Parts: sequence; structure tokens; C-alpha cells
Amino acid sequence: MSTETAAPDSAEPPVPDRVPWQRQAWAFAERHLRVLVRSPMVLFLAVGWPLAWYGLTVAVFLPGDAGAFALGSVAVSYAFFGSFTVVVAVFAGAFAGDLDGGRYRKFRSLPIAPSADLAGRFVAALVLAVFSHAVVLAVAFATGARFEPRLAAIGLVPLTLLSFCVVALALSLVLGAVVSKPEYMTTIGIVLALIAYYTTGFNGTQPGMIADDPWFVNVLPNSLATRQQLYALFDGDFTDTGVLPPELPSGIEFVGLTGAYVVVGLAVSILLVRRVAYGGDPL
Amino acid sequence: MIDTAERARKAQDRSAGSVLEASAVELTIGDQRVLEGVDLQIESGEIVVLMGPNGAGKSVFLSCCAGTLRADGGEIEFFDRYAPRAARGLFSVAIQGDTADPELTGAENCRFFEQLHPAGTDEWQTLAERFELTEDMDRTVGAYSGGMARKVELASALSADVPLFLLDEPAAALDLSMLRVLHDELLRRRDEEGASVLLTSHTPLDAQIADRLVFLRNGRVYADGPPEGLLDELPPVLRVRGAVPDDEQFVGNRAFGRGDEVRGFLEQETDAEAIEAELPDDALVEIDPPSFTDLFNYYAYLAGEESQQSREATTTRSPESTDGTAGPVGSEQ
Repeated sequence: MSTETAAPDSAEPPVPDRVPWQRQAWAFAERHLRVLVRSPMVLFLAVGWPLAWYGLTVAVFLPGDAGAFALGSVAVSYAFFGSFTVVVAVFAGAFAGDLDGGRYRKFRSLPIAPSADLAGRFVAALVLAVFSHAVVLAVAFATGARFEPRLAAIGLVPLTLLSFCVVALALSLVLGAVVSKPEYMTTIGIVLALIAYYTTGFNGTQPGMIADDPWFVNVLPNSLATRQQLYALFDGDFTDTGVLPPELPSGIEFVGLTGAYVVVGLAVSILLVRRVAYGGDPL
Repeated sequence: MIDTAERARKAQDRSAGSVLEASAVELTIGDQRVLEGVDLQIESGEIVVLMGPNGAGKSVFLSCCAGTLRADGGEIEFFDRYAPRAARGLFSVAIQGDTADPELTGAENCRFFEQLHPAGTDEWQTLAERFELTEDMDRTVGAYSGGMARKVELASALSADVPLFLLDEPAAALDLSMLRVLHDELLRRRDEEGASVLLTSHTPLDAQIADRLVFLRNGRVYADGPPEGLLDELPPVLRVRGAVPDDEQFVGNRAFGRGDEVRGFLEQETDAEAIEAELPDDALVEIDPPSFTDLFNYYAYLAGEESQQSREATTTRSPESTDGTAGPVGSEQ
């Protein structure tokens, strides 16, 4: 490959080029995707881990005659659970590894746009999250769960996944910056996912488990995303399903809140990558 | 790959002018003053080897040049125009540390950095061959030895088509034959492409390819000049074999072991007779031409000491007894 860096005239100093933003972003995305596809641990966390929990829950906690809706709602909760676990565990570890291993000292010597680095990580995280999510729902569907999507699902399902992924990635960057040991990240990711899952009543699918008023399941990002997706994927009556109260977050205000999570998550991520990783480089 | 005509054109383009000019660079990390006013210039087509003992500030200075650390004071300018961060597309850096991703293969690592550098090329494939890495390039770097990982990092850094290379301890973890390959590659870049190189080292062998040697110690430049000139300025070197002389008879009260011999610097050649008189008859005692190792030892460990001794001597003896052969560049001697 020839390059463009050259001095136009021997009397003039050379002019430094920049790599196009898209090429840098793709380089980071490709790097992470390559690592993901060859890691047995990632495959386990993305697929085996949520499916094992789904299978255990169906076998232990649901009656044998549990309906298709019950199976579907459990599947949605574990689909988010799996996405959250794998994104936090993998990307916190990757970020901490880059900081700890000295790779960011190398990156800082290159004319890299920090936003391209972040975009590459995010694309890889989104691919991983969507894969994990889709596999859980597909397996659930193949084993008896049924979904009756509303028209709103076209927008709500991608939006909830996107917001969830942004929040998980932002959290992973915070963890990577604070806990500089990549080897701890899988454990930390799993523990955090379990805490989030149980303290919000199975990601908001069983708020009746919560002793006090469970209003916050329509606010916290993991349970909000799960409940929005429940609303989108099941066009039916939720009475006596354990999902209510509170009412499912079907209004536009909840879409706004989800969008706010995307904005805040991106802001935190940009700040961390720019300040912690690139030492104050402009975007 | 870049063809020969392209190389020749670039070499001509890069044939003159200042590539790097650092003046009075200062940096304090924590409560430690790491750089104390470092001055350094690199001209086009020049290989400058920045030498010094561990902790001298070499890597920190190189990091300031590379834009990965910000200096507290002073100025660093590339091509008479650009600050370090603005010039990043014009140089390629190999730093110490695990910069290669252990979960990617050697080839994937090189391709990744090729994509990130605006002057990245696929010449890393040729370099991997020269470094005898071709068969291992499809294995993940996590399975590499330290030397192999270092070679991947060097192949990646050297594959950029840039007018300046900043290399931090490139010789670390390389065996002698690979060090020769590295030296040949750097000389080729200088001779064929007009590229400049700043490399840090505490390996005296790296002095062989230097157009200029700069010695850094305690964050200050103690010597700066062509290797031959610096060798000529060294005090006489005494070689002793078969006996161990008293360290206090040498400059800086220090002698250096090398294999089965002891070497030290004399204030003046006639001091050799006094040392010989105190040693057994069968000991070999002779003045020896200085080597690059002697050069390194002198400037890395003794130059400041001798300067201190000389200053002390100035207060206790006649002013004529100080010869001022060494001391920080720019200091009053």
C-alpha cells in the first residue's frame, strides 16, 4: 500500500495526514470482533450463561403448564441479562487491558480520534449484545415461547437494545478505568449483572418480588429496557402475569428517558475515553 | 509496498532541514524532577541514539516527543513547525510495554496499527520475514516470547512510511542476530529514504549505528556528539587482567568488570604506572583503546561524578588541576 504522507516540495516541511475517522473506527471494531469470535469465554457468556439461567428458571420456577407468554417474558429478561453480562465483562476487561498493558501510550502517539476508538468498541459491543439477545429469544421461541409484537416493536426493540448497550458500555469503561485489573472483569461483570437482575425483580419482569413500591422498575435502565421490550413484543393483557404494577412503560416519556440514557451513557463514555485514555485529546 | 522511485523521491524530499528540535524540556512526575532542561536536535537523515542508565529520563523524554506525555516546560518542535501532537502523522513510535494485543495474531496486530497510522504500509510483512517471524505471524501474540512480541511491535512501527522514527529501547529482548537485522533496517531507512531515527538505549552496541550519541543522566544531557568525537574525548582507559585494582585509583572511584578483566578511567595516562606497581607482577595492566561500552560507562555513570570531584578539587587545590573534561552540556566548566 502506498501512502499519502509526503513533502510536496523539498523546501517545505511535510504535512501530516490524518486517517479517516471511519477507517479508525472500523479498525477498532474489527479488532474487538476478532477477539470476540475466537474466545470460548465470550461465547459462553453470550449464549451459554443466559440460556442456562433461562433453562433453570423454566425448569424450577415455572409450572409445567406455563403459558407461552410466561416463557416469553422470562426469555426477554434473560436476554437483557445475558447482553449486560457479556458487554460489561468483555469490554471492561478490554478497556482495562488497554490501559494496563500500555497500549494507550501507543495509541496516544498516533493521530487517533478518541471518538473513533469509542465508536469501534461500541459497534463490537452492539454486535455482541444483539447476538446474545437474539440467540436467547430464538431458543426460547424454539422451545415454546411465543411473542405477539406490536407495531411499536419496530422502533422500541432496537432503541431498548441500543440504550441498554450504551449504558452497559459506559459502565464497562468506568469499571475498566477504576479497576485496572482485566482479569477481575469477568467476575465483576457477572456479579453486577446478577445484582441488577435481582434487585429490580428479574429485570422488572416480576416487580411483585420487591417489598416496597416498585416504581423504579420503570426508571432504572435495565428494568426499563426490559419492560419496554415486553410491551413491544407482547400485544396482550398483562393482568395476573406478575409484570404489573406498575403499568408498563408505554408512553412517549419513557422513550424520552431511554433516549436520555443513551445521551448520558455516550457522554460518560466520551469523557472517559478522551480524558482517561487519550489524556485530554480533542475528539 | 513502496517502489524504488518512490523511495528515492521521498529521500530527496527529506534531504534537508531540522526534523526535531527540543529545547529546555522539563518534566516533573510526582515529586521527582525527571527532565531538567533537555536540549536535543535531530537533522534530516540522522540517527541519534539517546543513551543513559536506567531512570535517566530517556523514555520519558521520548514520550514527550511522541506526544504521549506533556512536558512541563520547554519546547518540542517537528520540522520547524509542528508541536508533538500535531506531528503524529509524521513519525512512527515503538514504545516499551505490551503494545501488541495478546489476543490478536502478530499479523492482525500489524494490520490494526497499519490501519490506524496515516502512513501505515504493509511492509510489516517483509520486516516480519527479516525478523524470522513469518511462521509465527498467525499465532496469537499471547503465545509469543517477549522477544517475539517486541519484534512484532518493531515490524509494525517500522512499516510506516514516515520521515522520523521514535524507538524506545528497540534492542530490549532482541538477540544479537536480530539486533543486527534491526540496525541494518534503520541504516537502510536512513540511507535509502532519508529517514531520521531517535532511539533510546542502554545497549552500547546501538552506538555502532549512531550518527550522534546523546547521553542523558538524571534528566540532563551530559554529552552530545558523534561517537568518534566522544570516544576521542574519553580519559585514558586502563585494562587490568589477572588482578583487581583498587577502585579509588580510577576516575569516579569506580572500575567496571568486563569478562575476566577490569577497566577503569584514569585522570592521566601516567597513573597507570602507579596502579601497576601495586599489582602482582603477572597481572596484565595496559592502556586500551576505548570501546563503546567504555563510552557508555563513562557518560552513564561517571561524567557527573567526575564533574563533582573536579568541583571539589577546585576548592581544595589549585584551579589548574581541573581539566573540565566532563559535565552537563551547557554547565559552567
